[in-house]
Amino acid sequence: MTRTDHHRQRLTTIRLGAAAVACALLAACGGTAATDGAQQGAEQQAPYYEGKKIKLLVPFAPGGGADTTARLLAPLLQKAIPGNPSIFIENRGGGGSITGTNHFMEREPHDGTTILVSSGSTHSAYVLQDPNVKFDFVDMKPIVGFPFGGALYVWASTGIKKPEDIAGKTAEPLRFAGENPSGGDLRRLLALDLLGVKYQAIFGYEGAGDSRIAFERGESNISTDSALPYLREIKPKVDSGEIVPIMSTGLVVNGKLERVPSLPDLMTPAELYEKITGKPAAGPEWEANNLLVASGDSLSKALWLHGDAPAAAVDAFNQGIEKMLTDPAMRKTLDEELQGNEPLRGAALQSAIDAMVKPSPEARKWLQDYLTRRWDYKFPS
Amino acid sequence: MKTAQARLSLAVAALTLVVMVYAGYEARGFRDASMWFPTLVAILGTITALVIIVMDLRTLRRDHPEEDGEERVDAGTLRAFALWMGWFAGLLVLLVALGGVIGVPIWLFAFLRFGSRLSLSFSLGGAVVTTALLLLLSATLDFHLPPGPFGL
Amino acid sequence: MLDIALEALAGLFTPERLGWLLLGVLVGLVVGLIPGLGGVAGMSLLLPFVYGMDPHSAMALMIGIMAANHTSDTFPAVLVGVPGSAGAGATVMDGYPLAKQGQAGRALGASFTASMLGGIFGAAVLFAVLPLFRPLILAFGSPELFMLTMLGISTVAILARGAVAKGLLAALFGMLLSTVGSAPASPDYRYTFGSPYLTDGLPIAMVAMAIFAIPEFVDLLRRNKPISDVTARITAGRLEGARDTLRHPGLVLRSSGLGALLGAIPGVGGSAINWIVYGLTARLSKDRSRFGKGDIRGVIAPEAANNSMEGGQLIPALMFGIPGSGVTAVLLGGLILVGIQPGPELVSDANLPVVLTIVWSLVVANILATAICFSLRNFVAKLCLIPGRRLVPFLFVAVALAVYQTTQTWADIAMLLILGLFGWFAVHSGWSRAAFVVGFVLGPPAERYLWISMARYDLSWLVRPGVILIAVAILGVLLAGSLRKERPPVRDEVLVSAR
Repeated sequence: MTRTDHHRQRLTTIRLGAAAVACALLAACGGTAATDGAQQGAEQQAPYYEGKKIKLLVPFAPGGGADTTARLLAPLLQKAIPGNPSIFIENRGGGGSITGTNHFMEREPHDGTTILVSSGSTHSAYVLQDPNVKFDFVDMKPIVGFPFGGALYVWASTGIKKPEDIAGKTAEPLRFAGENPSGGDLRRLLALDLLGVKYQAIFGYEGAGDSRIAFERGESNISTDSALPYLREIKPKVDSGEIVPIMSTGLVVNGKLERVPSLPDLMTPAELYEKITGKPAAGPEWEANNLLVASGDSLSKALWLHGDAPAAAVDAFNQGIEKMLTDPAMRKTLDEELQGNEPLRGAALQSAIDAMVKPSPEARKWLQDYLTRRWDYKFPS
Repeated sequence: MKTAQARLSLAVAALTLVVMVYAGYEARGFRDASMWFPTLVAILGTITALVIIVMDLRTLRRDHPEEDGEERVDAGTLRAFALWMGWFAGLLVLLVALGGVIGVPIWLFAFLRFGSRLSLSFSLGGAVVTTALLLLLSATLDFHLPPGPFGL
Repeated sequence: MLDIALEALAGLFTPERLGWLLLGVLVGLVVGLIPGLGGVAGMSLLLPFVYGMDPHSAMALMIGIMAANHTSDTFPAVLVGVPGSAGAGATVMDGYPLAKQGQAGRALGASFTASMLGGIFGAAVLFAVLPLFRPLILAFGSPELFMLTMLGISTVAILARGAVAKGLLAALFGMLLSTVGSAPASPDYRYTFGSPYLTDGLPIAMVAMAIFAIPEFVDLLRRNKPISDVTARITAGRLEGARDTLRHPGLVLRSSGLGALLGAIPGVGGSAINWIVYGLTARLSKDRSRFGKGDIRGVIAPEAANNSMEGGQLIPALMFGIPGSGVTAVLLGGLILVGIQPGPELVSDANLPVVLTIVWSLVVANILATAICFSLRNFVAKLCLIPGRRLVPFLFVAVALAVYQTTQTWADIAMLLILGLFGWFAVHSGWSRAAFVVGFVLGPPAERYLWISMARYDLSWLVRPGVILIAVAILGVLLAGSLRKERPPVRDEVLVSAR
């Protein structure tokens, strides 16, 4: 580590030296240019993160989706943020990411040296008002968000030929293998329920990977995947007729449920509903679905600073993100993981967050009733 | 089986019995999916604990206390056990109160000097070297020391 | 095929790649040696440098960490009875008694040799099985996984060493403790008493340290004697220990084969595998009177399985992108960073060089790690000659800070002390620690997979061929034990340790 730091420092010195030389040249050329150059030089001399370390807090144990995203972003941001701060990852798993996020708000310094990566399960715990949640996203400053829509599909052995068939009679009982009626599975289950699909939900699997394998070995016949693995591994089987795609999760853009850009052929649950029933997909139940999709898919991962972080830190991150997204080599690495979804920044990011932090009271009420009625949840009254 | 061990075994089995019965009682409040396994374990555990208690009681009634080469868990042993566990708990208290960087050397020095009655130089040296090593670890690896009130 | 394999091997032997591999091995050894740190810590340390690295060097670096990290955690397990990782608990069972008998050098030698052979075997399995992997993994449904946990639990009978009732109670108590926290199949929190700390359950590494290390620490302090009874000669001859392992080729092969196979099946879990292998070894041995009291086979088997498992766990990681452990998870992240996407296409001919680099890195890293540990073993074994009161304070600091790493709250250390307190009484009243840990480790998969099996198949899962096959194996194991001439019940491991 020290060797590279040293190396990096040397590079910076060289770069600064070059800037100084440039300034001198400009000064020789004329007065006004010289002052501009000097100002620029002064700005470049002391980037906020020069010589600092940034802790990227992952509120999950190593290996989950948020952890993977964090480990992918850390080296890129390290290169892209002015001042090249070294970024290290700290895993603080537990309580379905609530513990780590609480810790971020309550214990970590607010000077921009600690940032948080949150994921869909952090957001849905927040939306469902889990009693352990002590943080509020309103008090955080979003840096960048990543949407990851996904697809839902079935084995052809179910007798399903086209998406609409899912609500009808099938050749074998439909089974969904999941972890637990909460978190990521919940969004899919709600969509299936809204479509009127009759299925058995088998819970107890250890995670998304475990349920994927359950699908492979026929313990379940409905499964979901995010867009990239879907395109890579499932699509060939769709083409060969083994698997039938039903719908995408959809993404909430400006309050509306729209198709996932990388899965343009797949209907959203709402479109499918309208096709099956002929009725418009509206009302608190669809708002509730959109609320879950907005917090879990449209904003699947997000990076956050504390709300009161210094402006210089926010600027440095904005510049860093900008560079990361425009630098061709970095972008290529990033795109491998982004699955064809454009990262959310600025107004789009704010709108995605608003969808999560300001849900309509009816939608939230409906969701709580649904959870109580269908999945035996207990909410403190 | 020796009487002393049977007495100890009886105490541990009785404690486990209480835990098992409580666990079974508490499990009634869980949803079906989460209830069956702890309930099953609690029932089997209760039965096994009862069997052990009966066996130990019979041993106690039959055997008379006798000495042999084996170490007995007697009052002296228990006192020693409490003493050393107390030292261990002391580290926890110091870590909470003062944090790792201060708490570890103080505890280690105190233990080595007054608990283990080792020489002053060994105690001091041991405390200093260990703390230095811990600082090195926390600086280079994902290894965290309790921060304590001073954030050290 | 062979020429590509040799080419990949030659490709690894460039100074640069070998250098990265060696760096990975060294880091892996260091983080493995320190209780509380594991491969994830090492990977996290080096991952920032991986971006932009030549993919083969990056792989060599990461595989080096992964392969070495389970080699060096044998030192604390054998020498001072501290299981640095959950899986190392099985090594403590016989390794530590051997150290007490002044055979630490021999135990370490045997264990490192077994580690190396296991690691190489695991790499071979990884390579051989990769194309056949899909059908293999799909053959293990939830009912079969449940039966595998039963196979593990059935070894409790032998681990209890005669005190069957107490062994059973220990296992049940372990299972009960494993249910603490959020439930697997419903949004319930069990036995958390409203404390957020308990919602994630008790970490296995902490439970293992509380049960194995804390009671032992107290007794070492009470007696104030060195760990080793024999003080005259505890170092081993040049090849001592290695010879022990080589004398049991069947055992090494069986254990590492089982380790690689079980490692490849997602859902069994690393720490369970060592215990299953240990239990089976004890069960299937002709003379099992010395297990738990310092039988060299009790060291060889789990250590061989421990390292072959790494190769096995790479299979689902590479093929499905499903990590079997934290280390493989971070490894996957690193691979993506250097542009290697895990997935079925990794098995294609075009990607063969990548896979072969991984396989060879695993082999060479295992040899390097073993060579380093093997040469250090006599030096480190001298720890066993230090009197208890001089040694234990340092060890306790290490263990306390190690468990502190799990959630970084004081509750970690408090829990260690509470469980350690109970552990001391339980151990002195004749409970089997092994049975307890087996219950704790296998409780969650048993619950999970039985529930799924019933939900999915009702009772018809009982007649699945795989289930019947494993059931026969369980019966065979149980009968193999009882048909052999039982020796009179020997005293429990406990009394030996309380000597």
